[in-house]
Amino acid sequence: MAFTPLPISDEDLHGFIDNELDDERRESVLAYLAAVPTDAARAETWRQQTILLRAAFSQVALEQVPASLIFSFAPRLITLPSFVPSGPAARDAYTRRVQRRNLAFTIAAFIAGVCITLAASVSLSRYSVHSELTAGAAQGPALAHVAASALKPVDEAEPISPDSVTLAGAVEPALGILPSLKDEGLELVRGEFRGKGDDAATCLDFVDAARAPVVLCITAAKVPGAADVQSLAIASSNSLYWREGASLYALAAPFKSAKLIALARRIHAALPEQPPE
Amino acid sequence: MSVRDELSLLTPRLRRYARALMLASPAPSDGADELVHATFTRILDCGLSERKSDLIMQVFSLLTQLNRENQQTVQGRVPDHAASGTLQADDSLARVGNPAMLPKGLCAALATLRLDEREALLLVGLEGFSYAQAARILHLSRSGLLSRLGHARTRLAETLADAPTQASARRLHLRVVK
Repeated sequence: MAFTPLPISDEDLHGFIDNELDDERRESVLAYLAAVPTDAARAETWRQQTILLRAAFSQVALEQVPASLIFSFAPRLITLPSFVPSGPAARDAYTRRVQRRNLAFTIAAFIAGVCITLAASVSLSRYSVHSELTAGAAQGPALAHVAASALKPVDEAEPISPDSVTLAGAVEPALGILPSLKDEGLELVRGEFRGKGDDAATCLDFVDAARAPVVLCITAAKVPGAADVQSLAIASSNSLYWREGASLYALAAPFKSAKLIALARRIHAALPEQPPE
Repeated sequence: MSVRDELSLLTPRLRRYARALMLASPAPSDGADELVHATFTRILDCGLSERKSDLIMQVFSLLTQLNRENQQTVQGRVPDHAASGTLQADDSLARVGNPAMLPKGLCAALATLRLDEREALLLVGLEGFSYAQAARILHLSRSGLLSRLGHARTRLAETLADAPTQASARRLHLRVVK
């Protein structure tokens, strides 16, 4: 009697996307997807969702944990019983003393807080003017560098484990363009956070029909009105950048300049319009 | 490694899950941090599992449960959008973290999902739990989990598919500058 494989269900397709199938079943699903393009397209959509979801929220895992959360599971301190004098008169005097001390502490803390806030705001205002001027001039090329440095054949790229996937909502504007990029023959491979500090950005890796890597990096524009990023600017032989509303985009690919510029223009045209900040 | 060390290492993941679950947004949120804090408090009171895998699932399960309780409380106050567990796409909220990241895509689509669908999608898609682990966290059967996951992915795809049509009419030209 000939062996009849089980029909492929949606559960199998989800299992295929989430690596829940054994090798034999996986082969069956692969053969099925090759024969049924509509289901292959659905599975591809689900795969892209997972990549984008992880990229969108990966930044959160890199943020510093607030002290309040760290202390919430720290070993609890042993509390000693407070000393309260015995006798009604002594207790009243003790209570008044505690109230006066609390009031004094509150006033002192308030005055100290006001002084610290004033000092901090003065120094921060000086610093922010300087840092915006310097950061705005270099942000575009730095982002393009992040994109260009990520250019490598997809086969050489390290696979991303769920734990190492990083970052945030920068993919949001790009979500709308994914179908358009698919029309361009670009396939989304991964999304992750790259760079450090001010140069950090969410990057989406694509491959074109010839398996050449295409990297699109997105970050927040620090200086919305910066003149150097109002238009499409060439950063290097294989990278360029431009501003899109309050976001800064960089595109890198091993293409000739004309092809790279044309692709950037198509991405720009396909992006949802973002109001400037 | 002690249980408290494990919790410490787990905190970034829990904050990510809490934000995605509560707000469908990666933007910083005191509410999400409070949910994580409440989870720690509750789990320390209830006792901890000494096995790492059990501990992780125990913590995620409790956080999910506490969020459901919060949602039920909110339902009484804001019945319009909370009745199905869906969230309102809160632009101001998502812009807090990064003003450039407009919540027009994934986050808005994620917010349209029912809470039970979002839970399944986030545990499998975002946190990388296996079906068996996610089903255990949600106290579901495997088929129940897959049903919710299937609905979530289908609905997310439908919502996201509408997004590019809004931008298709825009054909501005970028000028190259040297």
